[in-house]
Amino acid sequence: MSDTSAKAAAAAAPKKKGSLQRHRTLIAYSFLLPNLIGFMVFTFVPIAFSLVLSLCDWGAGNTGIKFVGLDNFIQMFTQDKSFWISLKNTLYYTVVTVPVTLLIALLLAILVNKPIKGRTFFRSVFFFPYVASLVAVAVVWMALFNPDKGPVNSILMALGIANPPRWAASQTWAMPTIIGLTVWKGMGYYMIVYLAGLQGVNPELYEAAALDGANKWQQFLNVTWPCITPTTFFNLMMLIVATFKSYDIMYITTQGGPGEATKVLAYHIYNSAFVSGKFGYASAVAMILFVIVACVTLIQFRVEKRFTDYL
Amino acid sequence: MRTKRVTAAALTALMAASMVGCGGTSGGSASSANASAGAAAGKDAGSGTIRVALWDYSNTEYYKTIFEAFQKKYPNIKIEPVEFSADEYVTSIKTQLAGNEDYDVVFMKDLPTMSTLIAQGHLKSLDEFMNGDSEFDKNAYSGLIDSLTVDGKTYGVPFRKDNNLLFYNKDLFDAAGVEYPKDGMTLKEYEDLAAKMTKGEGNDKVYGAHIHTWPSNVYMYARRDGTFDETKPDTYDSLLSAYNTILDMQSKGYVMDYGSLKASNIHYSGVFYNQSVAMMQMGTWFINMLVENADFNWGVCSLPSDAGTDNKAAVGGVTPVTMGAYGKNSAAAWTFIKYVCGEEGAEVLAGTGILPGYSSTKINEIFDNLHNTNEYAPEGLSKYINIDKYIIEFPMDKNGGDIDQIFQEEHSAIMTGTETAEQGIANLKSRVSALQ
Amino acid sequence: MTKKNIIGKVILYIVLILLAIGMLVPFAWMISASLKAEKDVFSFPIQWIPTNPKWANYVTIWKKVPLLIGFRNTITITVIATALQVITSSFAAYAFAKLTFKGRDTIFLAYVMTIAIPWQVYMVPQFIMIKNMGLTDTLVGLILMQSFTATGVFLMRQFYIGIPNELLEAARIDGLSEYGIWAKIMLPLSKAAVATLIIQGFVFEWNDFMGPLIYLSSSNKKTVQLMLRMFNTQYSSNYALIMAAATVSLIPVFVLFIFLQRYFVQGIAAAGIKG
Repeated sequence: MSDTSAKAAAAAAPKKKGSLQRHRTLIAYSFLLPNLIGFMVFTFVPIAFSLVLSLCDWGAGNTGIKFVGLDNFIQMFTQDKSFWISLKNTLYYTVVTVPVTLLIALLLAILVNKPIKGRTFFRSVFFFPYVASLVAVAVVWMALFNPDKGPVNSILMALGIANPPRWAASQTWAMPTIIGLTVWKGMGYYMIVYLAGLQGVNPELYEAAALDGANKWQQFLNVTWPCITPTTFFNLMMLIVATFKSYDIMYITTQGGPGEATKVLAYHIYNSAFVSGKFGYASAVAMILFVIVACVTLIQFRVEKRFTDYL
Repeated sequence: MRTKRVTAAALTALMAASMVGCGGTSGGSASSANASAGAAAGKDAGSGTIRVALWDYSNTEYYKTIFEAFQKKYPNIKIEPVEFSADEYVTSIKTQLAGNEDYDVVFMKDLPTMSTLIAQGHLKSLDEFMNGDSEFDKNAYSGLIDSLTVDGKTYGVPFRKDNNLLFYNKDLFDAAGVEYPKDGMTLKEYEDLAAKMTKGEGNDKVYGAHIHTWPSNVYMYARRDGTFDETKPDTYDSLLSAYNTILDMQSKGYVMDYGSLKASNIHYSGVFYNQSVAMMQMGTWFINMLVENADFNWGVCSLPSDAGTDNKAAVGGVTPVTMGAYGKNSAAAWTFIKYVCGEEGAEVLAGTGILPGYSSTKINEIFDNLHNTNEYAPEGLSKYINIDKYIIEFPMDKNGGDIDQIFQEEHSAIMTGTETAEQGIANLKSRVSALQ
Repeated sequence: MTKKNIIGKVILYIVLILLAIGMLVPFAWMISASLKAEKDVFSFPIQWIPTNPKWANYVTIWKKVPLLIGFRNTITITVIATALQVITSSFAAYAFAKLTFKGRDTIFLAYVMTIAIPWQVYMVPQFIMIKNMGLTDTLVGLILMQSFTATGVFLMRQFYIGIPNELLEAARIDGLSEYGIWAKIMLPLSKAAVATLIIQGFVFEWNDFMGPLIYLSSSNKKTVQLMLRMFNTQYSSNYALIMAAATVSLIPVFVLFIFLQRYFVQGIAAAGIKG
């Protein structure tokens, strides 16, 4: 300890600025490296390789890798109707799932953050779908929403709705059904993240706001919301990414159908790679996904920077 | 920034080099395979360990029976089964072979996957082994070896074959006083029979027939009549009459609704076991399932056909056994393949009610005898398994995987009423043509 | 307490209870189905409490699947991978959130970008690499593969960003080293985030079956989910057994969550940070 304080004292001298910089960088890297090495080897390099593949024709066989330039992309944009359909479906899925999940998660977090009896129980209940294995809950969900004999439609019919939606069996309702399952399964996690964020808000801020005569809504707007903005950024990012690359829900429930109603980009990537055996082409589609998410991330970075500067 | 780019480039190069390295080794093992193939043609049955990739090993009794019998006959060869989950078998095996895993024997789930693996060079041609081997009888496989041949090279031997039949619940027909379904019905007669057998309401409703959710549950009728071929879009119009009949049966409530089946993932076996359907088209593997599970009398007849195909042709699938390109023990692998797909393996399969790829009079007898050991099984089953013309449900094609996928999508759109049969068939044509 | 407050509280409880019921219905169905005979699973109207609970279903799955081996393997993978992930992620996140060094934003961007790539895209190259290291069909290979996730780093950074810099500056003036700050200030302040990360990692690794499916082929190395997945496909028509198996696999995750609740309750509010 005395050693470090000596260093800090020495660092304070302006002429040593260069070596201090180097020292700081070294320390920073010592924090970073344990994760960075593993990340590079097991994730980054395979991904980098895959992205290079997007310019190649490769069938994951020993028939060799052929460089084809932008052919994969040209084919994707001009000939592959499924690509456009799945891009559209992905946007639909994301644009609805993200705000709905975020809103419900925040509401739930605020509710279960209140000093009430049994809040631990409620938190566990809302969180539980997240920990459950998808395979199991998807089967249950599909049984509940069975168009003919499912309890949901039985209730709707009892309420006098003669032709209730045919849920996963209908072109129009298949996507909403899957969005419902996604939100129900995922919101508990985002609620927990929000909860951690809410508990980081200094209670003195509320007291000060209350003294200034702010009502609950004003307190939320002026205290809670700004304080949990980093959490919202995190949730937003994770949700967008998760919805963009999700395919397992569709794989288990509708197989992308009826027709191509619930076929999303990630599903198209999976099909191109493992059904068609075109790994180069699959990488090219993944590249598009990558670019979209890169744009979203950059925008998020900008906004976040402005926000933290303001703080 | 610059250093990073260089590092990234270097890492990518390393990656590429390691993959080229894989290619190199595989070339080596392929040539050593040739050398051992020469040995297999002689008397050498091989020895050592063979790695066998397959699914459903732990819950399928016949695998164990056959493997044990093999082990007894060839004590020098040790079998190491590697089991994958059935649903993910295709994905797993494709990844594993891309990583040059050294499986000597690979059980193949479907022909589209097999076509892809052949195109990727992950499977070994079996010609060198087959041709020099007098113990191997190519003609015992109902011509199915041809369907496993690409560009003049054969890559697999049929372990199982399956032929589609119309199964029916005799007890339900007796109770309703309706005559059993018979060979040579037209689709219209089939629908009328289903109408007659549909009874009741709600939970106790008995459906006249059951159409499972695979596209093949519709297209096999046209396929068997010889008017339809998945790889030829100009033959797709022949699907229309089967689609119209089945859609009509669905809208009139003679069969369960496709969307409902799909949504609750209802297995075809359950509805037949609990006697809520009177007739069901299914593959011959269902004989084995019924032998083990049915507690009512059941029977079979040939599929309905508008072309009067009757029992002259059968349509179905095949489960081939293949040899992995990176296996190290080809001689022993061939001995194994020859055994499980040959007479000995076939008899074990037939004893459980599974139709083996290998045919012989002995196999026919075993099926005819099922009736004696199982009171509910019908007599004279061999008539339905011993058929001259055997048509593969889905022929091998380099675009097999894609075509299959397109059929899945359009089939679900047609069956859920999202598009009419005509629109769906038009979409099928344009989408499959675009692949070629 | 004023009248208005009481009414508010009652409404709050009603809302919470209704929501809770909505959330729990599918699980109730799952447990109820797991205790039924196969033919009763889909019968309607739903019988929530089976008149003749068939506990034998649980005995059957225990007999059909070597669950003990599976639990052992799953626990090994989950515990080690989660621990590695928490330690290395919070370390790296501190560097990204609170230290300045050349290339920080570029490297961080590289991390974030990889989150967006579906695994299927690089599954094959990754398999080839891990195979060349001789780590396929080993628990070590699977652990390493899952220990350095970008999401973990991203989560921790997001929390660290929210911790005021003044607090760190004060600590630095007090003579604390960066490691000391990480251990004495950042970690204690981010207990909730660490708990979130543990749960996230735990849930992912516990429920993952694609990874084990492709990387583990020997039967004594298989994980619980892999066994359950194979069980599900092998007994695809037996919902009662599938639901029993699902219930069994859920219990450990649920228990862990109950334990970690403490951290959420305790929270980080008491730390006395000036905003």
